[in-house]
Parts: sequence; C-alpha cells; structure tokens
Amino acid sequence: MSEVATPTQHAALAARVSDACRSAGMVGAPYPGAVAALDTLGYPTTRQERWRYTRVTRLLDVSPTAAAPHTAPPAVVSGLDALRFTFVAGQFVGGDTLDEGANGCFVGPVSVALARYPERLEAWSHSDFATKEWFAALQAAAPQDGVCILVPAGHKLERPVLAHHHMPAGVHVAQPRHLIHIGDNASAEAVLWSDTTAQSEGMMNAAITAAIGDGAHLSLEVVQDEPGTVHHMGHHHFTQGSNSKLTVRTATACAHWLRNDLHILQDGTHADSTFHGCYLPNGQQFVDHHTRIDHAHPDGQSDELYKGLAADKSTAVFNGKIMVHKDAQRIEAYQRNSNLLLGEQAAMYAKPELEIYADDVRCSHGCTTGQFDKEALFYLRSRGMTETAANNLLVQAFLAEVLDGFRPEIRDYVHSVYARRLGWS
Amino acid sequence: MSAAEENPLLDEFTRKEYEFGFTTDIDADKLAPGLNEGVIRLISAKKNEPEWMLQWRLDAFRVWQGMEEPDWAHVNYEKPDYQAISYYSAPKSKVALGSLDEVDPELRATMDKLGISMEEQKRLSGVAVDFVMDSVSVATSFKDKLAELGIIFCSMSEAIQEHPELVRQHLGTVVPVKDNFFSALNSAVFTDGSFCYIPKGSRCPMELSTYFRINEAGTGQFERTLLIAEEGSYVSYLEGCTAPQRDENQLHAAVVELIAKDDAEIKYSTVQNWYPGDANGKGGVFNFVTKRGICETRAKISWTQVETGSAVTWKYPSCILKGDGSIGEFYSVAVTNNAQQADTGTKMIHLGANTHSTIISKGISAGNSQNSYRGLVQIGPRARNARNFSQCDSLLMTDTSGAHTFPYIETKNPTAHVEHEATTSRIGEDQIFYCLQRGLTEEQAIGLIVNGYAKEVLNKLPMEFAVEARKLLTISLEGSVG
Repeated sequence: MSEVATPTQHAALAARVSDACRSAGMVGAPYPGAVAALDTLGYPTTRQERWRYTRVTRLLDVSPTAAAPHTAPPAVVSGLDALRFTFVAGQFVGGDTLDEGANGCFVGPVSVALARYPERLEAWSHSDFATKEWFAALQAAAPQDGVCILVPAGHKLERPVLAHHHMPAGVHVAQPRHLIHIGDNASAEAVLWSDTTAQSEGMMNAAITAAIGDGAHLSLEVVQDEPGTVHHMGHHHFTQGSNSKLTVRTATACAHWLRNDLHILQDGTHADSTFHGCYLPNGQQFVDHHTRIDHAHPDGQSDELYKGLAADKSTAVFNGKIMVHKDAQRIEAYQRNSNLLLGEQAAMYAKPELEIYADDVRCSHGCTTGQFDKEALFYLRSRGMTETAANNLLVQAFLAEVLDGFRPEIRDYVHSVYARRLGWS
Repeated sequence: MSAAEENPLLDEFTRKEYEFGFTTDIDADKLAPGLNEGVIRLISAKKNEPEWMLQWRLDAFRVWQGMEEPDWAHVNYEKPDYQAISYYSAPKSKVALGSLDEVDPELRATMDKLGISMEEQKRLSGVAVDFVMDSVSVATSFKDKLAELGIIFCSMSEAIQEHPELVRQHLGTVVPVKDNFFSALNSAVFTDGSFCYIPKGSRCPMELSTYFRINEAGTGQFERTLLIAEEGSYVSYLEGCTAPQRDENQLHAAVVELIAKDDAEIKYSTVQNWYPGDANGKGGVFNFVTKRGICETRAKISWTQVETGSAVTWKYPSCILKGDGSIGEFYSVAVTNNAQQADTGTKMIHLGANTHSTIISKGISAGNSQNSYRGLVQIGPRARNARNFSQCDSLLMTDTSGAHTFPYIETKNPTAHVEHEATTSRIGEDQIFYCLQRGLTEEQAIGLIVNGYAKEVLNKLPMEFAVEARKLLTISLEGSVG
C-alpha cells in the first residue's frame, strides 16, 4: 500500500509551491535549514511510521494557477467582539493593527511585525520541525502572511484576536505562518479560523508557532471549515515555560483532506496543557490528527481529549503520543480518544501512545471505537423525535465534551456545519 | 555511605548471577558458521528430508536474502552477523532410545538441574515432555498414551518423516515464509521443533509441554512449531525456556503456527526465561519470535506468556480470527530488569463476524530496562459485531527504566466495539510500607505486590506453570526497587 514519490516528483512540487508563494508574496526570508531539508528529508511515504495511514502522493499533483484575487471574504462569527484580521491565500487583506510600541502589545500581520520589530521575533519564531518534516520545511522555505501576536511580560490582551484565513475559488497554494509570543505572566486569547469556498482546490500548508513564557496563559481556538477540495497540512507547535497554562481546542468542522500535527513542549516545571479536538469526516473525506506532548520537566500536567465520527466512506486518523522524559517526575498525563463509526465503509485508525522514561508518573490513555447506542436512539424515537433529530441530538451529546469548551458562537457554528453536512439539520 | 552498605539486600540481589547459567559438555555435531545454499542442503540432508522440504527451505532462503532486518521496534541492539552463526548442532549420541535409562547421563543431569525430572514428570504431573536439547529432540514420553487417542505429538523432524502430508499441507499457512525477516530465516534453516496434531473431536487428556534450551556456544536456535487442532478438539500446550549463561549474544528466531479448525480450542502458554545478559547488558539471548494462530468458525486460541528473560525480545503472538464467532485471547506479563529490552504485544485480526478478542498486558520495568507493549487490533470490513477489549498496564520500579505503549487500533466496520485502556504508574510506596509494617521483608513485599498486579495473567496459566511463573517473577525483580 505504500507509494513512493520519485525525487523529481517532490522536488517539482516544492518548486511549484515555492514559486507560487514567492510570486504571490512571501513574508520574511526562507528559514535557512528548510530549503536544504527539502532535499535531504525525502517525501513522506506510508512506510514511515508517522505517515502510515496518511497518503500524501495525491498532493504531488497540486499545481497552483495564477495568484488569488485579494478580496476580503465575508466575516465569520460576526457576533464575536474581537481584534479581526483577514488573510486570503497567505496575503493580508484587512484588519486594524494594534501596536503599543516596542515595549507594548502588538497584534497584526507578520509582515508588519517583521518590518517594525524584527528583533522581537528572532529568538523563538522558528521551530525545529522546519528541518525535520518535509511539509514543515516546505512551509518554512516560502512562508506567507499570518497573524502575529506579541504580548510582553505582565500584560493581558483585553480583546480576543480572530485571524481569518480564506482560500478563494480555484487552484491555489497558501503557506501562512502565525506567530504568537506570550511573555512571562502575560495572557491572551485567540481564534485562528481557516475556511475555503466550495470551489477551492490546491493546498493549504499552515504553521502556528507559539512560545508561552513562565506563568503565562494562552487560550487558542482553531477552527477549520474547508468545504472545497483543498489539502490542508497544519503544523502547530507550542513551547511552554514554567507554571504556564495552554489551552488549544481544534474543531475540524469540514475538511476534504486534512492533516494536523500538534506538538506541545513543556519546557518548564508545573506547566499545564489542555488540548481538545473534534472531527467529523463524511463522503470520501480524510482527517488525520497527530498530537504529541513532551513532558520534559517535572510536575507537569496534560489533558488531551479528541472525539470524532467517521461517516460514509471517510477515514479518520488519530495518533496521540505522550512522552515523559527522564527525570520529569510527578507528571500527570491523561489522553482520551473516542470515535463513532457511522458509515459501512468508514475507517478509523487510532494509535494512542505512551513513551515513559520516569517512574513517578501517573499516565493513562483510553481509546474507544463504537457506534450510536441503539437503546438511546430508540428512547428518543419513542419520545416522538424523528430519526434525524435523534441522530443530531446524539452527535451533539457525543461531541459536547469537546465543543462546550469553545466560545458559544463557535460551538454553535461548528455544530451547525456538522448537522448540515450530515443532512440532520 | 555506599549503596551496598545502605541496602545490603539490594546489593546482594543485583549482583546475583543467572540461576540457570550452566552448560553441558556433550560432543555436538556442529556445522561451521555461515549461511548459504550449501548449508541449507546439508541441514536438509542430515535430517534426511524429502525433496519438497529442501525446495521449501531454499525458496525461503532466497526470499530472506532479499529482505532487510526490521528496525521499527523500540529496541536497540547490535545486529547479529548472520554469517557468524552456526546453523546446525545436534547431540552426537543419536541411538534410538527405548526408555529414559538409555539417555546420556550428562543430559539427564542437565534436565535435573532444570528441574525436569522425567520420571517425576511422568509419574506425578501427567505431563508429556518433548525435550529439545539444541536442535534435536532426544526424548519423548507419553507418546504411546497419546497415540491411542490418535494424537500426534512429536518433533518436527519426525513429523516430516512420518506425517509429511500433514506437514506439507499446513506448514507456512499461518506464518508465510515472506511474513518477515525472521520468519523467512527460520523457514530456511529451522532444525527442529514440535509438531502436534489433535484429531477431530478429541480432547487432549494432558498438558503438552516442551522445554527448549540453547546449549552449544554460538549456535542459533531456530525452532519450528506447528500445532493443528481439528474440528471440535482441545489442547493445552506449554512451552518453557531457560538458557545457559553466555557472553556472546545468541539468536533465537522461532516460528510457531497454530491452526484451530471449527469449534477447536488451543491454549498456548509460555514461560520464557532465556539468559538476559549481565547487569551491563553484556551477552544475553536475542529472542525474535513469530507466533501466530488462525481460528476457524467458533474456534478459540488463547496465548498466555510470562516473559522474564532475553536481552532483546521481539515477539507478537497473534490471532487471525477468520471464522465467524471465533475468539482470540492474549494474556502477558513481561518483566525487564537491568539492560533488558522488550518490544512485545499481540495482533488481533478480526475478519469474521461476531469475533471477540481480549488483550491483557502487564509490563514491569526495573533497572535500566525498556519495556514496550505494541499491539494491533484490526477490525476488517466484514467483521460485523466484532468486539475487542484491551488493557495494558505498566509498572515502573526505577527512574532509569522506561515503559512504553504503542497500540494500533484500525476499525473498518461500524458495528465494531473496540476499547483500549492503558495506565502507567510506579510501584506504590504505601503498599510496600504497609507490607513492611506487617513484618514482610522488602523482597517479599515486592513479590506479593507484583504477583497481585500480574494475577489476572498468572491465573490463566496451567497449574504447573503458574507456580514456576510466580517464582520467576519474584526472582527477576528481587532488589530492583529504585
């Protein structure tokens, strides 16, 4: 089942994507090691453990056409009061930059941040993954615009940030880069929203790099609502300092083909990470969530919860790894993954992993795959609900544990997308 | 204060030598190291094998030559030089033996040291023992009694001579030659092993057991076991291993194939205590084993293993649940101490409807060891109402050891119910304290706690093995709390 791309094929893909990004507009210089890594790493194949269930040969055919028109898409969750920024295919198209000067908060496009405060981005804004994963290297070799949030030590960002990235109709490639830096004892909340039109094709290869200082707090909601046939690669990397708290919630509302790589490094003691996610592929869709948390220092905590449904002929993948390093004692790490299979030809691949090198730890993971409780369905029907309404309610109940953590506006939106896609609304 | 003064018990036990480390001086008929077609022809000729067997071996050898040694497991070792191994060794005295008295006295002494008194076994426990010394089976008991029921229990070489049609029909059907690097190697060079055939409807009246032992320095051991349970039959098979102390690594690449026809049941139990190497990881056996069973309609295969030995273990006893309503079970306790590394688990492949599987795995890591569970649960598209429950617990005894879990759960049918849970924790200080307070020594306390932790698995072992396994667990972990 493994398919191997020839070197010329993936080199050609890298060249096409880099050229398209360059001509549309790159932001900042390519990461030095990334270009070389594109040659040395080789294209992922299903023979590699990390890509076992994820075929990327289909991405080799992505061939972007002319640059995207830069017109702003309609606003999302318009009821939400937030600092709003809009990007189209990796280009900044609108939003009011918040700039409190060299020692204050900055929220705006990365392009502006690089022009005004390059020194504030230097130390932390590139992750090692740019030289370790082929697609992350591709992203870093030709990065484009995304949101930049810089909160200096002791500050609290009063309003949430909503960065909306849109892929217009047609075959396009976008490689946005979002950068978040929360100084010591500072805090911020943000929503990163990516969507497409139903006629969008091509590839979205996005990176989020966040550094959270000692005692800092970041709450991030990631929404992916992409009804076209865009292939989405997400590289989400977080580094946490001591006593920091990170919450990442990822809702894959709709995706044709999506792979998220979420990586959290607890680089200080007493760090606390919460990462939840939900997904509901249908038709022939493919959704793959890979997560990894590194407990590198003692007394850390983590709570991971991913829930999803796979309908029709879709495929869902979950791979979660908890890594407890040597001498990282007194770690408490929990991971749970629950799945419902709704389609006769749907497939679910789960791989919850524990890798533990310290002894005084409490780690556990649980993973289940099943289907709707027939008795619950019967109960609801017997109370006069239609099958559609009953299914809808059960999906809502199943996903509530994850979705209730989001803002109500986002929770309701994601649920309405699920209900509409499955014809249950 | 030095560690030895601080805890004399710990010091004593960590320095304790391998209890079963001894070798027997018997002249062995041994091939020079190296592997090529000539060696395979020679092995085949020495065993007086039919032409089809030789061809099968040669085909396997050609397949093996094109394969690469796998490195995906969570283990680190220096890969053996396959040309530096001698592929055949047999004790020289090969006179046909009518009774136990005719067995070489030195060999008898070895058996006694291992705790297998043939007479006692015969008289008291009702266990038929097929004793494999290096590669050739030298003594088999209770055979006549089994023959009355039509049960065939003999060495593989004997089966190839006397029941070629059965061997030819089934050999390699569960673990194909091409399955993996080690199964291909085994298929090419296997020297002996056990063969068991249970005819339709019969229930094997005793536990069948085999003791394997690597004896000759520098010889690899490549057993091949084939167990066929015909419709409605039942058999319980025990396999136990101890190996003498060696400084060079010894390779053990066995293949075990189980075939459970309709309504048959096979219970396969293993206690594995090969030489694990010294405290620094020097020496020790490489245990690279492929074990797999296939279940037809309503058949059941149950694997139980207690793994305490070997420097490196790479072993995944699996069940292919082909028939509707078939059942697969896997119960495992894996203990690693010092520099041992284990990557072990199971595969439950659900193909038929209403198939059930249960996985209970208990890992215990001590010293500087690494202990991994790796398991696959696969529900095929046609496996309606398949059910799996997996539980993988790890117990850590020191802060220098590692416990890892790599489960793969692949579901392709919406009616499946799959549950997996895993926990990792440290041996409870409060539990040890409680036991100490009641007057137990630390060793006794650990023995008690570990045996309680592994109880679910130990209870699945046949009586004879459970006693040995409990003793082994305690011995393996003495003085290991960090």
